[in-house]
Amino acid sequence: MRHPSNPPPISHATPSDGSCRLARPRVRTIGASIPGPRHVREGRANQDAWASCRLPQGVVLVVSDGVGSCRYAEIGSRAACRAVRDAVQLMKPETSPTELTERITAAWNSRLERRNPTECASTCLFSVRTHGGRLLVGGLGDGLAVVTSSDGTTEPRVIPLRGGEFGETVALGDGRESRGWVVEEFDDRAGQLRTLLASDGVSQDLSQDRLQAFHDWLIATFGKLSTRRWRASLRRQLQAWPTPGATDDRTLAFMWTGGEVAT
Amino acid sequence: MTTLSDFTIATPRPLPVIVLADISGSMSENGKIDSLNHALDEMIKSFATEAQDRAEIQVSVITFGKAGAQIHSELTPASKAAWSPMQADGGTPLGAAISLATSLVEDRQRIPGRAYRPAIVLVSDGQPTDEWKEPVKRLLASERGSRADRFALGIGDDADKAMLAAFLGDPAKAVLQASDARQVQTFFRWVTMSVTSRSRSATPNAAPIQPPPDLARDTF
Repeated sequence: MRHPSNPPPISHATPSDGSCRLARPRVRTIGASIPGPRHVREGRANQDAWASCRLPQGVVLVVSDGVGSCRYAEIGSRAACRAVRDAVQLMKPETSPTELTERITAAWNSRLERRNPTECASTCLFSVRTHGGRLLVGGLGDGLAVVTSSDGTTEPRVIPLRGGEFGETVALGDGRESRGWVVEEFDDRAGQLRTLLASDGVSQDLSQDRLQAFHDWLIATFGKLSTRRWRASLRRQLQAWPTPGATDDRTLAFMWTGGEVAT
Repeated sequence: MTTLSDFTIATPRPLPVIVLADISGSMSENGKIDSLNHALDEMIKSFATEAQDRAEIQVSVITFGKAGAQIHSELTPASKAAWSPMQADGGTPLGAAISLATSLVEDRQRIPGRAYRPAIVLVSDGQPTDEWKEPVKRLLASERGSRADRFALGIGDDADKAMLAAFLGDPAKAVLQASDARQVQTFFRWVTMSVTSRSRSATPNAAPIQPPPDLARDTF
């Protein structure tokens, strides 16, 4: 029997999509994004964005952070959310993570409507869970992408994003996309894995040794609320961020499976 | 009841300042070590009075002299730092001090990823007595060291300006030269202003450092 304080790592084994399908778990997503105190004070838009959607291929969750110095950062971050959806819509069971990220980059560029990509630079973190139980999690740029298990028997897997430090990050539009993406693939046919994505305005201030407990708390606290209530409640939590001096926009989104979809 | 604060860090993001102080024997001449001690004490006191609601300024002093390169004061929030004066004696093992600073900057336990870009300040009055070119190259090539703000001050005519310029690693940046205690203090006032203006900024990583003073005219 494994000691709970030393759980094994989460399996990266890849299911062959569509085969050996179990009853389809019900995938749920929750998220919120608020402008940081600095942007509120300056009357500027939130440069973060998040999105989730259900597609024939699976469920998609995205968090994007527009690079602050860019003129159209908020357009870039919204385009990143749409680009992931566009790319997943073209996804087939055999689509590799590299093919997926290449399609995201291409879709993002086409979503900018002729704007200069360098003026729209944005990070892009995503989680895609196919109906066959294939879970792809990762992204381009800084922030947090972590996979935890619902029973806590495996240790959280923090995706080692190539984010840079001291405020520097790789991003869509900065010309370094081809070597900046990091995506990991997991076998979640059992429907035990959950994903947590956060922009750096949140991830910088999170206790890294409490990610599993944080994810548990988020799901227990907000997962039982109605859509209207969790939206308002999570936004309030982000607005009342407890770390002093935090001025960035803040975005947090998470995905988990709860129950089964009737088939 | 569990709240969000149970999962977040309660302190502001740190802004580290690392001072590399020459305490070789020659620093005991003409009151140089006294003026350096006084200027450092003043700088730390100024940092300590800064509001810590946006960034927490932390200071470490690495000395290089008779005992080699060593940590004179660990990286500590300025508001909790107590200054103990340095004594000057021995050679100038600058290379070892640069290596120590590089280790500190790259240490993710002591300077976590959430920290703001550090400032590294080098003060020396003479020629290094150990190999320094490779350590400087390693600092400038390191991911974190290359992004740090770097300040350099030569005290007196014997300071190795080429070495100080190599430490800055940017031809556009000038090595400042002090010939008396007042100019040493002016230099550290500039460092203090540069750091505190960043700590007050809404974007400390993006905030530029202040223009350098003209020490000859004492204009700052």
